[in-house]
Amino acid sequence: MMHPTAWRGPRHALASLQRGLSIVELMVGITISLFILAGASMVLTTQLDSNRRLLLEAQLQQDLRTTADMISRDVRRAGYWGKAYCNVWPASRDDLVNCPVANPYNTMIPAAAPDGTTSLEYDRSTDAEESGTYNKDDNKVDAVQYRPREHVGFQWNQAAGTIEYLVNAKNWQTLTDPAVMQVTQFTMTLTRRVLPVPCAGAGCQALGPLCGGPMTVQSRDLTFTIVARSVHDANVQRSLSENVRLRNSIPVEQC
Amino acid sequence: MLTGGATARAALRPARHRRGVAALTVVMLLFFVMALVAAYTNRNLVFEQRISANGYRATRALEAADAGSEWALAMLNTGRVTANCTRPDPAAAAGLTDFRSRYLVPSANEKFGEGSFDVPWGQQPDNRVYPACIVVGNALRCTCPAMGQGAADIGAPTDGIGTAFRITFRLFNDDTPRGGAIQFISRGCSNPGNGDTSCFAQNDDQPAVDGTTSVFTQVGLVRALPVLPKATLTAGTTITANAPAELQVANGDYSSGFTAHAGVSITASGTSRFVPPAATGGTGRIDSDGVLAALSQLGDEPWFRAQFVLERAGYSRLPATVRLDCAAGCTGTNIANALLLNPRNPIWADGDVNLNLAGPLGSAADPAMLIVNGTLTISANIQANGFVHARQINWTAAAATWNGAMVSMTSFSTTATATLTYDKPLLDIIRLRYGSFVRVPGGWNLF
Repeated sequence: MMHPTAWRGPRHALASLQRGLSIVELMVGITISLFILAGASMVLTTQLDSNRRLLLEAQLQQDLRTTADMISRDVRRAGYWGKAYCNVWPASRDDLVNCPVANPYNTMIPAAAPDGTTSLEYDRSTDAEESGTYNKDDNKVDAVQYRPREHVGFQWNQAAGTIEYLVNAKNWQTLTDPAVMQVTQFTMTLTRRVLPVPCAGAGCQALGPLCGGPMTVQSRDLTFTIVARSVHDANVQRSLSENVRLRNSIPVEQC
Repeated sequence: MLTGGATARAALRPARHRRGVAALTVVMLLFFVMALVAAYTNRNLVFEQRISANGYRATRALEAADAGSEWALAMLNTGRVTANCTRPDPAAAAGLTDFRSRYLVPSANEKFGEGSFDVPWGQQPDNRVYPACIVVGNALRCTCPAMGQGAADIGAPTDGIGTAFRITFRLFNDDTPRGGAIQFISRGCSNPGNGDTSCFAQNDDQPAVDGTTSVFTQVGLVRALPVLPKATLTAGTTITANAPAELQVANGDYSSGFTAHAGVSITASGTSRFVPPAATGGTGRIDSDGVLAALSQLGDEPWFRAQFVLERAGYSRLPATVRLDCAAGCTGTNIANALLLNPRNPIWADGDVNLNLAGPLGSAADPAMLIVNGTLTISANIQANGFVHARQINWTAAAATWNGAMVSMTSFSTTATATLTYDKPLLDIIRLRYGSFVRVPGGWNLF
C-alpha cells in the first residue's frame, strides 16, 4: 500500500496547470474567431452563389442545346419522301404510271421567311419508322394510322415563354421546360436559293407538269436563334443560333 | 516532490501520444468530408462532360454518315477501282471492275421498269458485301469488296481513333419504282471499332462503337444517251463514199430500222450496200431529211440538245463524264487510256480525235461512248463497239468496223470501205446503264 500523500502531490501540480481564461483573453479570442468566421462565411456564400449561378447557366445552356439539336435534326429532314425515286425520269414512258409526279411532302408554312418567323410548319414522311420497311409511303401526309407526326413544326409561345413542337394535328407540345427557362426570343429565318440547273437556257429547259413552266431546283436553309433566361435568376441569359441546310431541295415549276 | 512530478509527467507521455492520433484521425475525417463535398460539387461538371461527349459522338457519327453518302455517290460515277477503292495503276486496270458494276447489276426481269438495277446478292442478304471506309487523319482508307470475295484490309488504326462509314445498297420495297433509281444507307460511326463488331465489318450485326447515325439516300441516273439514234449512221449534212470507197451499212433492228440518215444527201459508190432489217425491203436510207438539215444548220447547241436532252456545258460537267483536253488533237492511245480506266463512262473530247491505234475499242459488254467536239478521223483498222457523236467524221481506214451507231453533226465521208452495223443490245447498255447518278430531291433521310 502506498501512502495517501504520495498522490496528493501530483494532483496539486495538475491543478496549478489548469488556469482559467481571463475575460480579456476570451473577448480577444471571440473577436478573432468572429472575424475568421465572417470571412469564411463570406467566402462560402460567394462560393455557393457562384456554384448556383454556374448550375443555372449549365442548365440553361444544356436545355438550349438540346432544343436546338432537336430542331435542327428534325427540320433537316423536311421534305423527305419515301418514294422520292418517282422523281426520276424513266427510260421508257410506259413506266410513268403508278407514281405521283410531285413530292407530297414539299409543303412548308411559311414557304419562305427571309425576315424571320416565329412559327414554322412542314411535312416529312415517316416512311420506315414504325413498320421498318422502306418505300411504303402512301404519298399522303398523316394518312397511315400508326405513322402520324408527318406534319410537324416549331413555334414560339410568347405568353408562356416556351418553344413548342407540333406533334399532331393542332397538338402543340412544349419542348422547353418553363420551370427552368424563359424563352424571350425564337426566330427562324428561312431562305430559298434557286440552284443552277443543267439546261437553264431557253429552249433547253425541262418544263413542269402544272403550267408548262420551266423547272428549277430550290435549296432551303434555316437559321434560328433562341434567346432564353433562367427562371430563377433573370441575370442568367444565353442565346444560341444555328444554321441548318435542309437536305431535301425541292423542284419548283415557275408558273 | 520533484522526483514525484517527473515520474507523473513520464507516466502522462503515452496519453499525450494518444491525443495526437485522435487529432490526426479527426483531421483525416475532415479531409475526407471535404473531398466528398468537392466531388459532390463537381458532379455537375462530370454530368456536363458526359453530355458534351455524347453530343460530340453523335455529331461525328452524323458527319461520317453524310461523308459516306457523298463518297458513295462519287464512287458510283467513277471508273475502275481497286479492292481498296483507289484509282488503279493503268497496267493493272484491265482486270478490275468499276464500283457501279460491283454493287449494281442490271435487273434480270426489269421488275422496277426498263433499265432498273438489282443488287448482285439479290434476296440473299448473307451474300451481301459492303463498301466501307475509315477516316484517319483526314485521309480515307476504304475497302470495296466484290460479292464472293473477301474484303481487302482496310488498315484499321490500332489506337481506334477515327471515324468510319459503311454503305448498304438496298432493293426497293415497292412494285412500281423507276428504272435508273437506286437507294443506299450510309452508316456513320464515331469510331471505327474492331474486327467483326467494327463499323466496317462485312456482316449484319450492330457495331460495338460509341455512336452511330444512318443516312438514307435515293439517287437516280441521268442518262448519258437518253434517246438512241434511229439509223446506224446519221449525218446532219452529207454522207459521201465516192468510188473506190464504199459504205457497208447494216441495221438488223426492227425498232430503229434505218441504215443511213442524212440531212442533205447520200453519195455512195455502186459497190456500197445498205442492209435494213430482214424482209423490210428497200435500203433503209433517208437521203435528204430537211428537219435534220435544219437542225444541223442551227449549230452545235441545238443539235446537241436534240440528241442528249442537255446543253453541252452541263453535259461535260456531269460527274460521270470523263473530259479530255484535245485542243492539240487526241490520238487513239489517249482514247484507249481513258477507256482503260473508265470503260463505262462517257468520254468527252474537247478537240479533234484521230483513232490511229488499230485493235478493239470498247467491247460488247463495256461499249465505248465518245463525244468528240471536233473532227473524228478513223485512220487505223479498229474494231469499235459503241456510240460516237462528233462534229464531223472522216473515215480513211481500209478495214475498220464500227459496231453500234455513229452520229455526225455535219458530214461523214470515207475514202475506204466503211463497215457499220447497228447493235441494239450494245446501244441499250449505253442507254440504260451509262450516265451520272445524282441525288433525287426528297430522297434524304436520317435514322
